[in-house]
Parts: sequence; structure tokens; C-alpha cells
Amino acid sequence: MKRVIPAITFFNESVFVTLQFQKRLDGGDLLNSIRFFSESDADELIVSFPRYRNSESNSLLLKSVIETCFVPLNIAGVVRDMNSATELFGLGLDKVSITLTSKNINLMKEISSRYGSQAITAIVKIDRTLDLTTTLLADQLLESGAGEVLFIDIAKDGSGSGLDLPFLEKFKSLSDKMPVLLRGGCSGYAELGSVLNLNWIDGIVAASMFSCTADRQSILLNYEREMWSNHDL
Amino acid sequence: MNQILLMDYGVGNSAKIKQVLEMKALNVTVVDFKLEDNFQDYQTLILPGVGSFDGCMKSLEASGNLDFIKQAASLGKRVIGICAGAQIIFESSEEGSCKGLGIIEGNVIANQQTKNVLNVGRKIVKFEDSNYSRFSSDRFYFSHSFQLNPVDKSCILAKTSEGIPAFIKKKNIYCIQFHPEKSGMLGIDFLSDLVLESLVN
Repeated sequence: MKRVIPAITFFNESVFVTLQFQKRLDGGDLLNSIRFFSESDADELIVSFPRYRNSESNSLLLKSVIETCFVPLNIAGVVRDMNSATELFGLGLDKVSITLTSKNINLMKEISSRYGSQAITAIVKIDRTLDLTTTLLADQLLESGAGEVLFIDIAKDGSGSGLDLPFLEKFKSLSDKMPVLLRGGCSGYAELGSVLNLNWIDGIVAASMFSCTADRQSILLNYEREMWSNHDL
Repeated sequence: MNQILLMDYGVGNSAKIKQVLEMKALNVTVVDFKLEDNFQDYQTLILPGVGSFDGCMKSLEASGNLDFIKQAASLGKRVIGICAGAQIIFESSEEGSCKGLGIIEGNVIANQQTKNVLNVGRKIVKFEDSNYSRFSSDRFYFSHSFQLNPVDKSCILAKTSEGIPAFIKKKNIYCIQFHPEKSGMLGIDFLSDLVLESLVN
């Protein structure tokens, strides 16, 4: 079954709906958002902490985040060493998302070796100026030990203008190696239903779609599984 | 005295399992090698597990709890293994080189049925046993690359729609491949009912 994963971005004091990952709309309390998606029985949930700094208060916050969530939880932007990974997995975290870079590969390998490949989501940020071949990317992904890859189209984040499938299709062959997730620009439930029918896509991650009204001008948490679950997945 | 013991040997997500059982008003005692109490009067032992087969077995051996688990099984206590904790109940795994607990005859083999070896996400599980059929659903969360392979196939009480064993019962030993603590309220109800059965009986 394909996965539909809401994403929450937390900047120090509050959740924010972003546009190209810059703050746009204040989304309020983090735990309330998590509770909503957990009670909505979201397939999974990704929470990103773009400006995370280690501190006692942040450690307590992460503990609360994990305790509040009863669906599979993936945290991005926090784990930078094995100690933090060990602490979070011990509390009940399911996955960590780490950006696929040469600097991070050793940490990813170590986490994968200890917790299994299913514990790591490799993030690949789309940069249309780079000529990244899928062969090179596949080698890096396999070396990292990640169990899945999440392509994030930063240029499309928060736009609701639709996924750039013609561009993203260049990464299609990677789906033979591992599950492929896409994030960036999903316009709504109608597009979700059609995109999930594509064989090479294992899941969609979306932020503003699940946090805003359809015009993306106001906050409205939503996760209406019946809007896509009737499709033949 | 009714007691539910939850093994903490350093690689399981015992904190989350304890939390979900306590939400259902079930008191759980977390057991690790630091405790000196000699637990005898308990009904259920829960063995969580996250990560690789060898990683779990090595941590279990290092924790000093290995014999306790084997003793629980031989005494007829209800032993419930979850995910990697279920896999180490078997004799061995294709994933690694360590021997498992060998409590159930059989081994753990690589997933064959899924497009990628990794079976991750919410899956359809059908419970064939009438005691559990009310739980049949498409909301159970799996995250694993290897699957349970008992010699006695009749002990497989539920499979995913792809045919991956999801729930196994062999006498007093229960093996859950999915993560009930991550499968929403349905999973929490399933795990708590399984534990409650042992307390009532």
C-alpha cells in the first residue's frame, strides 16, 4: 500500500507552514499538530527541525514529540551522531531522515547497521542546476544503508502548484533499489490520488496540503484518508 | 499477583510499548539486567526489538537476560515478541550469523514477496484464527526486511495480503511481526488484548 505522509516543520518556538522552506504561516503548537495526525491515523508522520540545537529543553521536547505520536514517526534535522540516534530510537522513534551527503554517509551507515535500513530515510534535495546522474545517486544510496529515499523539491515547497513529475521521473529507476518518496508542491487530494497510481512512487510527503485550506491562506489541519484510499493502490 | 514484564535490553523501543499498555491501564514492569529482583510470579514477558537480528542477540547476551527469556518460555509464561524481538525467538536468521533463542523451530528469511526486500508501511493483515479475526485490517505498520519462517506452518495465524507472516502463536509463545505500538488504536488494542488474555487465564 502506498504511503501518504504529512510533514510538519518546527522552527524553535512554533510550527510553520513554509514556502521554499522559509516561514510563511504560523501553524501553532507542535504537539497539537502531532496529536491531530496521530489521531487521524496518518500512514506516517515526518517532523523537521531545521534550526535544531542540542539543549535540555529540546531533548524534553523531542521526548514529548515521541510520546504524543502513535503512528510511525520520522524526525529530520536532529540526529547528527550515534548518541542522539540511540537516545531517540530508545524512546520509540521509528526513523530518522538525514540528507545524503559525503559528510553524512558514515553516520547513516552506522545507524543502518545498528537499527536496520528501515530506520533511515535518505533525503535528496532537488537542485535543478546540478547534473546528478541516477547511477551515482544509486551508488551513494546503497552505500549509505538507507532503506528509502525522499526527494524534496525545495523550489516547489508550499506552492501547491503540483509535483514536477516530468523532472522527478529521471529518478524513476531508483525505485528498483528502494522505496521512493516525493515531496514538494502536491496540489491536493485529486493529484495525490493520481500520483499514487504510478508504480515507481511508494509514497508522497506533503506539508501545506495537510496544514492549510485549499487556497493555502489559512491553517486547517486535515488528513482525509478516504479521499485517496478508494483508489486502486 | 498479575505482572507484565517488558524486557529492556538496549535495542528495543520498550518506552513506547510501556506507554501504550499503560494507556490501557495495564501496569508494566520494565526488566533489565540492573534489577536484582527475582521475578517468578508474572504472567507475561514482552520482548521488543528494533534493528538487526545479530544486533538484538548481541545486546540480549550482553544484558544477561537471555536465560531469563528461555526460562519464561519453558515455564509456560506468555512470551510476546515484537518485530525483531519476534525474530530472535527463532533459531537463526539469513540476516546474520548469530544463533537465535531457538524457542520456536524455524528460521528468519529474507522477504521475497515485496517489490523491494524492505516491507515498510501499513499493510493488510487477515487473521485466520477466530479469536483474533476482529483485528483484520489494513492499518498494521510493518518495517522489516526479513520474515518469520516457522517449521510448523499451522502456527501462522495471520499474514499480510502479500503472504508475509504477521502473527504466529506456538503454545505460549506469540510473535508479532508488525509494530502494534505504531499501528494506531487498532494496534494498541491488539497488543493490550493479547496481554489481557494472559491475565484473565
